Amino acid sequence: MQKLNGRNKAQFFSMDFVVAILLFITILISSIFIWDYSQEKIFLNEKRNNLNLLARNTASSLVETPGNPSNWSYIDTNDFNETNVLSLGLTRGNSLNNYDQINKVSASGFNFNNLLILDQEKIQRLYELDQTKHDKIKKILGLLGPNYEFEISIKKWNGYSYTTNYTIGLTPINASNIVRLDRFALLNNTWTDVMIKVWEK
Amino acid sequence: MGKMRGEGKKKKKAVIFTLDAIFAVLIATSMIVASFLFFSKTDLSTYNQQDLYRASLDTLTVLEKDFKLKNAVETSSTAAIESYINSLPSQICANITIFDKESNMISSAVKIDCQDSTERIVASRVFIANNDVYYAKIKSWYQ
Repeated sequence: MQKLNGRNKAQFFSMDFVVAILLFITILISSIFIWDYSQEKIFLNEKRNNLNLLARNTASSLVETPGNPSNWSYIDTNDFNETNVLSLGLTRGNSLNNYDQINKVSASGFNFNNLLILDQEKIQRLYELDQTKHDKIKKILGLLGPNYEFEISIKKWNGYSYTTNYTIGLTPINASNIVRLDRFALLNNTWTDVMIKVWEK
Repeated sequence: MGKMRGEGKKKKKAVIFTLDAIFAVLIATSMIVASFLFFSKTDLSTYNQQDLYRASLDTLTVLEKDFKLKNAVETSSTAAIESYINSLPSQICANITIFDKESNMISSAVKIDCQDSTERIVASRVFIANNDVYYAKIKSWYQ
């Protein structure tokens, strides 16, 4: 029996250490994946929230207000831009025809407005303008994102179901995100469903 | 006689697993799985209630401006109101009740084929009928 030069060398190797190393690497790799996944999910959620807000603001502007100016539908096509038209609305504006009614109702303490009472002429005008001024309409509605688009469908009740009378804007094709919102209104004393889609190309 | 050192000595091999290591693996695996489950959840409830409330207000506004609420009081018939709430999208249920100014119930209309729910949105609107003040209350929920 001989001592080898008085040196004692040994290797220490335990199964615990191996397991710990493997576990550490697994956790590290998983953390990277989770981080990346959560970042993407947050990003997508923010984009969708943005579309939701845009859809709601667009819908409110269209069915609750007559627009600014309220006679925007009389503006010439060449003058139709975001400088002359500050907001778009499809409800009837106040006119001399209902001026007396407004005063009487106001005197009774009630607020008279044409909330949800749509104007056929404005809908027709918006439909016509969309053929040549689609980008201007987008800007006025506040859809300023580079790939944002909209579709507005005016559907009237025929006694059994809602049927589409007007479709304004672009139909979603290959959309990465779509938000749909329905508002209910009256058009020529007929129940109407104003469907608004805001989507991202 | 000379047994060689080690001769007869049984070879023993063993694998040692400590409980610490086992717990560590289990906990780490659970945390990773839980993280993925949490992040993969889809949350649709952010705007649902707001949309339902907006639809409820629109319903009452349309019925009031279309004089359906007024007619319901003056003719004691809720057929028109029922017709309107039955035209609402299939996922929306609604129950409209009309009260006088002393909160006495006058009439009520419910959408057909709707099961009641505890998660409801409530909205009200005042209107004039018979030269008197009434209010309509709508309770709506998702089916």
